[in-house]
Amino acid sequence: MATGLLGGIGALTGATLGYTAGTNCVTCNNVWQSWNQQTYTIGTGTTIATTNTVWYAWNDEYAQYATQQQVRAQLGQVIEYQPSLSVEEIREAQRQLEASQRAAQEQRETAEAKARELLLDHLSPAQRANFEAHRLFIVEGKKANYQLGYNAAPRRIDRATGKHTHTYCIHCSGVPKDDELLAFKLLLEADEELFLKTANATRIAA
Amino acid sequence: MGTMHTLDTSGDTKIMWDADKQDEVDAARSMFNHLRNKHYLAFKAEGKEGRQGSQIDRFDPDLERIIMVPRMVGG
Repeated sequence: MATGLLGGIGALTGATLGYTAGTNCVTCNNVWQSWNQQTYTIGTGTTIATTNTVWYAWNDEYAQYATQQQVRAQLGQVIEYQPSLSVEEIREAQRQLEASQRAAQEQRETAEAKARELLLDHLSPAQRANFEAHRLFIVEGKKANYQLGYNAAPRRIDRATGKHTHTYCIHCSGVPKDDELLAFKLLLEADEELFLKTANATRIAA
Repeated sequence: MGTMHTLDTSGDTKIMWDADKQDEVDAARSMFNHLRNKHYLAFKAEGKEGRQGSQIDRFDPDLERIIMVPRMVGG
């Protein structure tokens, strides 16, 4: 329990926190130590019913640690606590985390805008209009037409009936969605066979 | 002036060259070959009206635009 809670704080602050029973306690400052001592005393007394499982488990771990401390003290070993993070340090860590998240978001948005521009540059006026209205467009292959879009895998369209006959599972990973659509379009137009050979096809039930 | 767009996480990375400047052509060709060795597909494209492009295997400095696409895989 203690590890999970401290791990959560660690994830929030970006600091390396942790407490492994039997080895070391790198986060317990004097406040926590005092708290644990108090609750542990209650937990082992007759009022154990007043502690819940969480605190009991935590205190249980602390009890192991406290026992080891006693042994170490007898052996002359000194365990030093690392200072805990101050409120200001935690706030600063939160500010840094939020700033890095904002920067990543801005980077994603810039990449998506570039990919959108490049895709639109390679669409015909009709494809562009369709894409802007419905986020999909049709590519004419040698064998069939294909629908490429945001909300579904590429689909084959039977030219005679206009019905979708197959879906294709294919990926161009590591690029924004619009780049992926451009990659599919280029490959379908230039080498339809390679597209069909690469993708996993699923027939759509009539 | 030719342009090579390499699709990547940033959207795309552009390399431009002047066909009359050998050092620029050499740099673009070198990048083209490097990406081809990494199994990128190369397509030539012309204009901005969605005209059908075609796949190319060799760098041609006279091309207007080249799109380098990372390897695609079936899901």
